[in-house]
Amino acid sequence: MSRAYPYRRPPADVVATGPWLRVTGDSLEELPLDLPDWDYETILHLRRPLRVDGFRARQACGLSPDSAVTLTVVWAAANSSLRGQAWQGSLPALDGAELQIDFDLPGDELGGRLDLETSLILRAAGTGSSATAPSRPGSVLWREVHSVMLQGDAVLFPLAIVDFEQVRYPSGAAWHLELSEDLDSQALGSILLLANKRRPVVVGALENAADPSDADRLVLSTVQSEVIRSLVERAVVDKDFDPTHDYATGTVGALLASVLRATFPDRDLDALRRERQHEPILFTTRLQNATGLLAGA
Amino acid sequence: MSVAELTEPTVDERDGRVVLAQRFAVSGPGPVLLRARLSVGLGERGREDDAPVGAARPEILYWDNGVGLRRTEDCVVDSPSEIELVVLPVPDTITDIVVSGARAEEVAAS
Repeated sequence: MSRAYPYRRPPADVVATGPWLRVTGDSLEELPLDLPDWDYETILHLRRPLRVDGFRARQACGLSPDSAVTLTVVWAAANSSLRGQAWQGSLPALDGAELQIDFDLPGDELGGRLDLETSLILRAAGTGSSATAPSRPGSVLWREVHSVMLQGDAVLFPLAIVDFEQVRYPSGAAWHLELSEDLDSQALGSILLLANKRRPVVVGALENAADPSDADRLVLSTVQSEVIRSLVERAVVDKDFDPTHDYATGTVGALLASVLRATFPDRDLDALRRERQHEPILFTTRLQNATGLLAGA
Repeated sequence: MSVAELTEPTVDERDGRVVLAQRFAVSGPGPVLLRARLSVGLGERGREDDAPVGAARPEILYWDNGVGLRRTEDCVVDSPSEIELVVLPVPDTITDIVVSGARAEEVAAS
């Protein structure tokens, strides 16, 4: 199958893209494909040098030199399904223009796969442009997408530290995982790990998660195992959950399916449901094994 | 018998109209009946197989085998040969083009 835009587009080589770069303090390094140390409080400072033939791009599209063309970067986060404009700049009508993309991306709306879409967009066609040239503002002349995995394969949740005396959960509990009933809701907005402020051992371990002590590791392993157990239990108990259903990316259903697959790659859901019902103690032991409880501590 | 795309579809202006033109090569036993399936492309989400009632759809303007123009939906060509398909797109939309071929004798017999 061939796909044709309704207007002329320039050859890909009108844009020579440099690498995406991450600015950390005074250092500058190429942005890797995975950022396992990323968390929701990380601000990504990104740069990218480009060399663009703005005159040739307009000419190849049939646009007159006075046409307004913009270079834009749009970010999109798979976990939250949110997207937004990160940067934009005008493209001059001359060849060999050196441009530098530079922006900050706060972490609170990101997660999972981050797509960085760089595009040349028509803002206004100039007088004397060809009938075959793009004419609608917003027409995409060229685009390229670069993807980065934030947090690697680890499942990170929004975390809040609260006093359980002030919320509706038992005040002596160490933590509680809040999770929406709606399998089609976005996981990022529907899931929250609450840690009890009255349990300083837990709060301290979560705060030190990037550089934990040996004692913190014990707590973190237990929290991680318990969180996965909560998610697996939810998947097993919820009769509406069907791991073969095509849940949209980033939804609670997709999260449960992913956790189930990662925890029990060789067992189907019906077998797990039967075991939990008839041999609940063995089921719990199997979860400890699958989550590696205290294995690395 | 096979139909191969020789070029990507290109936007062109013919007789004052903006059209899409794409060249194909036909090879193998002939003659060959060519059929084009045209639809509005929906970005990365696929194509519009069932257009809303009354919605405009891309149209075949003509097939050009270098000898003459054929303004028909289907087109029978000798093999091997080359042919250009010229399509009138729906304004401001992406067009998906699929051209397939069958032996003309088999189609006539069925």
